[in-house]
Amino acid sequence: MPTFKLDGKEITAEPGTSILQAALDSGIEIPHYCYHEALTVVGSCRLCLVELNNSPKLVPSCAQNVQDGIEVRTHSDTVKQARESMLEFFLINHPLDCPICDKAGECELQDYTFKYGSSHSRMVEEKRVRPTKDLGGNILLYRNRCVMCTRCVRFYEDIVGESYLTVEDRGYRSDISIFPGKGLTHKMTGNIVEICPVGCLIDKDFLFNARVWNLETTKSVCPGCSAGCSINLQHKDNKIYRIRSRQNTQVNQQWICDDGRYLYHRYEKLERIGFPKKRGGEKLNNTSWAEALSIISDRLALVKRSRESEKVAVVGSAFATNEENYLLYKIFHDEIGCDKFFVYNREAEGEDEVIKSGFTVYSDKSPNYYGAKLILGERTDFWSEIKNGNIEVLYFLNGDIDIKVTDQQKELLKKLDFLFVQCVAMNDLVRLANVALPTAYFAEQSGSYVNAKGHVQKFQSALKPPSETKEGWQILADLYKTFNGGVSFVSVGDVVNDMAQNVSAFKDISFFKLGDEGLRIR
Amino acid sequence: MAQQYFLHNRDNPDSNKIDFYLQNGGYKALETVVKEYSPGEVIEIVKKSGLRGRGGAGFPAGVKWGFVPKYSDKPKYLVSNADESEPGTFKDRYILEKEPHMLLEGIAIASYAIQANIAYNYIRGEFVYGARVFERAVQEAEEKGYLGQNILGSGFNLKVVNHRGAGAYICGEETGLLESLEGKRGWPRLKPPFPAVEGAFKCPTIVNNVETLANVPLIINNGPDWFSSIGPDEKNTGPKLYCVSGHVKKPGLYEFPMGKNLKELIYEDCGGMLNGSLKAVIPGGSSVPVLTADEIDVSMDFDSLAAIGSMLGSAGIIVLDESTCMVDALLNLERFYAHESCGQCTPCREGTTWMVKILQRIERGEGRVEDMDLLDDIAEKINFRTICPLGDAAAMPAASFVKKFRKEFEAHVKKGKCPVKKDKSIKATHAHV
Ligand SMILES: Cc1cc2nc3c(=O)[nH]c(=O)nc-3n(C[C@H](O)[C@H](O)[C@H](O)COP(=O)(O)O)c2cc1C
Ligand code: SF4
Ligand code: SF4
Ligand code: SF4
Ligand code: FES
Repeated sequence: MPTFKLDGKEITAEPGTSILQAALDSGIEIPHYCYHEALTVVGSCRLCLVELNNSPKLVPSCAQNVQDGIEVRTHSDTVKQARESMLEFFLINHPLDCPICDKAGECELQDYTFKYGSSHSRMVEEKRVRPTKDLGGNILLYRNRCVMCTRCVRFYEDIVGESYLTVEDRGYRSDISIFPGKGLTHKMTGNIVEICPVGCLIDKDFLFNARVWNLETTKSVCPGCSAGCSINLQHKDNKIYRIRSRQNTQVNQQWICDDGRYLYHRYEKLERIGFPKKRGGEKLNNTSWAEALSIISDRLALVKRSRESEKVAVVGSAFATNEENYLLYKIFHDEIGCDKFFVYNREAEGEDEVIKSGFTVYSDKSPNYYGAKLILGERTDFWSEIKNGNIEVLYFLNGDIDIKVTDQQKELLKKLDFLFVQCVAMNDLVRLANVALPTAYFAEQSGSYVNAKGHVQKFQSALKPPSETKEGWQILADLYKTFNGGVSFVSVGDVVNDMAQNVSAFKDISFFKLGDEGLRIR
Repeated sequence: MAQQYFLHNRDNPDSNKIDFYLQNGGYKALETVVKEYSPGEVIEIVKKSGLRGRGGAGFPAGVKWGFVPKYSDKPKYLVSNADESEPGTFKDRYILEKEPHMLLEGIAIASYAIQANIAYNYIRGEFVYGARVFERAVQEAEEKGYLGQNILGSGFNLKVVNHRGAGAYICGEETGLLESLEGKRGWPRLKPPFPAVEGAFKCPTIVNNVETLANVPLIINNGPDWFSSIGPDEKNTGPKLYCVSGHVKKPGLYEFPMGKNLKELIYEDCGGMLNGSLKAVIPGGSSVPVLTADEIDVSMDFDSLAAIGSMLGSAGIIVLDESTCMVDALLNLERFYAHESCGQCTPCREGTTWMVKILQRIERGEGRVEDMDLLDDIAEKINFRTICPLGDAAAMPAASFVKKFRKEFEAHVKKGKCPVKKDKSIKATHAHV
């Protein structure tokens, strides 16, 4: 492997690594715009120029691979000067409108200028002014802020595999432009806002909504489909302002689709259940958690006493966390002796959508079908079981905010003696329940999902659920306590530890060990 | 007058027809090559002749051909660069219109040397007539068996394709040209890899200027020693075309051996200055550093011009008299570069336009004392920091104009207006060819 000197320090890097990447990997920053590790190298912004002992010219470190024995200087006077002048060039037509730019605070033009630039410009002429363009979809192009790095153009060419953007005209009239007849409607489009190093590509969804430095970030996993992309939830005052992709080389690289990116709005519009409910004749009435849980545990205790556990069935969910599904199993299997476990999943939507880079948006729109099956088994057809009259008591854990219950299925549910449901929002299950428990959705709770490839990832709660709504694992831990006061689960980590001991697929896993990128199952 | 090899038939309307070319010994060189020489031998002969590229940089042609990997199983391509767009340059156009078979024969020999079976002639879009003449020449040569399958029974095949550009200066830069040839935007590529290793369609490709290629049959016919005996020394050899424009009595295209004295060319061959006295000469097309009137007693060859800080470039000699405002002249040049910059690299895209704005301001009389240093600094920050040499081509004139004519720039600032009495009467009526 080539060994070379970087600012006097000996560095070893894989052959074929660019000087820039090797520097970044060893913690030395070389400012850059056009370089992006996932995209073709074009070496055009010239910001990453460094000095090389065997070259009379400064070289673009993104386009020059490491070689044995070379000496690279990234902080010499010449390099500093070149950087300063390059930043001056970038700014001569830039409007300096940071105060009204959504990118401010996470803008590489701001950051680099602050670190490497000069505090004044020698340009006294009038700047070029161009109106902002609407590229369609959610994307605005603030053309005055563009640094012409062409990352956005290459994103479609290299990652998506279909060109949407191009550079129009040339020289200083160069302009990012969309091919005629196309709108920026591709599902992967939101990513270009993230990779644009400046505030040129702006997401209408976030436009003027918040200053980024006021947002808190919580690591999470997208529940939009069974790809399970790593995401960051960015929030303030118990409200999500935007979802950003989070790098995970084992899952989504650094991309997410727009279905996932804007998914949080769906939850904002839900009619939440608000309080635990119990049935009084035709009506559902609010009740306390204590009462709701005791109705359930009393009914289950009766089943147990009368040795009628075969009349009890449990439907877990591909939309619930492993911890929820696991506790469900623990209660009903270990404490009640039930052995009828099913997994609910919604029908897949269309085909999997695969783009050039291999990134896939799955047709299975549940985040945890894989995990739910590991814990509860493969059975899914609980409807015919109800139809056959084999079930009298049913605990239905859901989480799917798009669940559709047909009239026929409603009739079946009415046949049950007791229906307990645990749901995020009002739906037909809740309306037919004897007891309904309001549960948190993914952003309001912690837990883990297993994606379609068998990769377990954890996520943390970012928002507080509404006052009488609880995290799913918490509800089930409380229910468990009514049967077995000896064991108590204080945190979601306790549930994972217990699951690791009892479900072989999760052997040796702990909430801590899952880290940021998660683990592949066996 | 010295013997001429390019311009001697300029008054003959049939000079571009194959029959005329054949009557005068045309395609003999090709015949010799395909029948008697191995590709390697051709390369050695061209190396020995000392032929240097006429497209601007003066790279030895034979050496370049030698860079093509011999054992690569990829197809190889030859590209004739007929994009001629450098301001002040009009020599390739003459060859295309009047001596297309010299070029074609050169293309065929070069293709044989690098074992290319397809050659492209990338021709400037505005050369409508030249393109028509060239295409007819290709057809004639194919009909007579000098191009096409099994050329002169040698087993060597060559298809020559004429490809018209769409009017961008940057498509004359060899890698911009290749992108354009492939149907993409003419955005110059990062080098390495050089085209000889990875060029058109990712295959080994040699790009040569039209005049470079047109010299090749002469070398084969007369021998490399004959060729290298023309010119001042063994590094600057062969006959050479000089394009003279500007304030001389007889502007036009001239042919002399490499190393023609510039002063002699202007004052004797071109009949001297038109009206006023000489102020400056740009010797090698708009991209090279300017010479003052005191610097023109120089041999027009690669190394002599380099020794005084300029370049032979494309040998486009632009003569400027005292009625020329140097700020205005530089503004004119920089406007060209700003307009033609492909816009990929930051210093070229932003720097050229910035210089234009500053120059416009100085010319308007709103210059500031610090503007000259600023121009010089911008040029320095562009130079050698871009993907292709267009950045350098924009920077070099700026730096040299400011350095050599600083007083005139300062006079603009001091007076608050342009101090030069411009002569607007000149019209291009004295074409020599
Ligand atoms: C901006 C720019 C424009 C150029 N235009 C031309 C041109 O019009 N014709 C040409 O032969 N070479 C042109 N060149 C030089 C080519 O890149 C290349 O060096 C040349 O074609 C090589 O041929 P030669 O070795 O025979 O000189 C240009 C270079 C630059 C940087
Ligand atoms: S819009 Fe953004 S990503 Fe695209 S070229 Fe401009 S600065 Fe780069
Ligand atoms: S691909 Fe699936 S998991 Fe990834 S962001 Fe889109 S919806 Fe979410
Ligand atoms: S130097 Fe100018 S013309 Fe050449 S690649 Fe860069 S921007 Fe384009
Ligand atoms: S990051 Fe290297 S040139 Fe842009």
